[in-house]
Amino acid sequence: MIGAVIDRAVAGSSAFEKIFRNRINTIYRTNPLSEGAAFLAASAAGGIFASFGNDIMFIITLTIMIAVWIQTAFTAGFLREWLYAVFLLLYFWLPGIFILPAENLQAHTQYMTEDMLSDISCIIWASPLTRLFPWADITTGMLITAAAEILIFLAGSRMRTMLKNSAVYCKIRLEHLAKPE
Amino acid sequence: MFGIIILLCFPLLVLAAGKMSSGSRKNALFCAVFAFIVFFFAASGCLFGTGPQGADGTHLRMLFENADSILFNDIGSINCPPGYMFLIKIFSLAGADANVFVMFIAGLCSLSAALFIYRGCSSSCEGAYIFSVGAMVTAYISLSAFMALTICAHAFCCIRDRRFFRAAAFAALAACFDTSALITALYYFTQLIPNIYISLAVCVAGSTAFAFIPGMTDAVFSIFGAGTYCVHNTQMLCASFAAAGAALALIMIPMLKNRDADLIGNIPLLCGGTALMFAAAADGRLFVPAILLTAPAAVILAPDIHIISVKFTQILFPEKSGKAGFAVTAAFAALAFVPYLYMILTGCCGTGAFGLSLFGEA
Repeated sequence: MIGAVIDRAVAGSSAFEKIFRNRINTIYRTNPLSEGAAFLAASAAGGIFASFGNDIMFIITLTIMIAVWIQTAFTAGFLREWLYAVFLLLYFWLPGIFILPAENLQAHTQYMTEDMLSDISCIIWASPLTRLFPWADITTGMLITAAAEILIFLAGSRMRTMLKNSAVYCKIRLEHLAKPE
Repeated sequence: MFGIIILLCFPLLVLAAGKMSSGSRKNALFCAVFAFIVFFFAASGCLFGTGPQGADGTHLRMLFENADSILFNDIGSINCPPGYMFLIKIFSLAGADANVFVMFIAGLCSLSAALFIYRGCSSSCEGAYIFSVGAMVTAYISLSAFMALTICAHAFCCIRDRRFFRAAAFAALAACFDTSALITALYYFTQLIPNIYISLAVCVAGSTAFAFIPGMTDAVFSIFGAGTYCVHNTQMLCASFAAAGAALALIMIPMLKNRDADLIGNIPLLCGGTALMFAAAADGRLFVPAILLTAPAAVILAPDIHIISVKFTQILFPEKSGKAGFAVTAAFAALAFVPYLYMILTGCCGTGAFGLSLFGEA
């Protein structure tokens, strides 16, 4: 269905074809490692400003963080980079298991974290989640975010499958295969 | 001694990266020289304990010694950029000291230089401008601002590749070190907008919006040409906005009309460079490195300033571009000389108090 919609849109507008081609080319040029770097950069920025107390910068950086998380998960799903799913699980689970025991998290919410490693982990990991889900505890927030990311990942993967019915997409991919970078 | 040896190796690393990449040897050499000058002055205070950045070095060492007891939520009270403190804590946790931290920043900046070269700088100015801006910021504040602009360089590369979300991520991270970086990225982004008036509107609207964000005021003024010491003076603030708007229009319209990528790449330097030199000059201790670091940038950019002036006058005075072009060029040159004159004055006084008193802030 998506493929037919894309084909019809491309047939009606050359500008759309240009945009579509540009997006597909960009996605296939994407390096999963650099996507991971962007994910971490956005998370760090969002977390740092979430802890720092500047509300406007917090909103800006958190919006960027969410947008980058969504885009990264979708791109990774589209490229079928399954290691990314593992990376997500590690990102959301490791700090909680090994670094941030419950008492440290509780201390963080009271701005009393004494341990440096906990303080650092709370900055980039717990702060954005606690600010995103103020009504939930950190574990619930973590589960919601991880589930959403995995769903977006699967949606990206599904999108690629559906695009195989598009003549324009197949044409672009054939061009890629004929002219590998 | 070990630190000095490592420091001397960075230009060689950049040169090697340039040789391996598609960039020209001239670009690589240029970036390497700039990187070396910047790193030397930025790191000297931290590595030797004295020198042009002695105060900053002391501050850095103090932060390292107390990293474990300073909570992240207390950063506002110790006047430290949050990203900078975040890195210090990580390095401190790993057992590193201030020297290693400086080396890390120097390495990151070298990589950025190499990345710029690798992506194919359209001119040596474009590759060097990030270092010259960084140099001025470094002379004024600390390594953290240089760090911000270095991360911002990665955002520029993403903007060029039309990877806007990724660019936003790196720009946001850079803002953790110095909020000026966010506006610098915004300026770079506007070159992609085909309509010059929309580009200009985005710049002005974006920068004005940032002016209302707490903590961003310095960034707006440092980029817009007011200098960081004007922020508490309402009259200066209004005048700065007017002057900044005019300067931006002067610089951007002719450049964007001609789609000249080389010149567009220098917008942040032209807009912010003068202001940052003011800021550096206001601290009398830093006038020597400020002159040493900014003079080469000004000399290198002089032809660009001349071209911009000529283009501008060709638009405004199409029939008299010769003389009018000369007049505007002379005006630009005079404007560019003002900060140097100011630096010399403050330097001769031997103290930053005189410079501050000129702005009524002493």
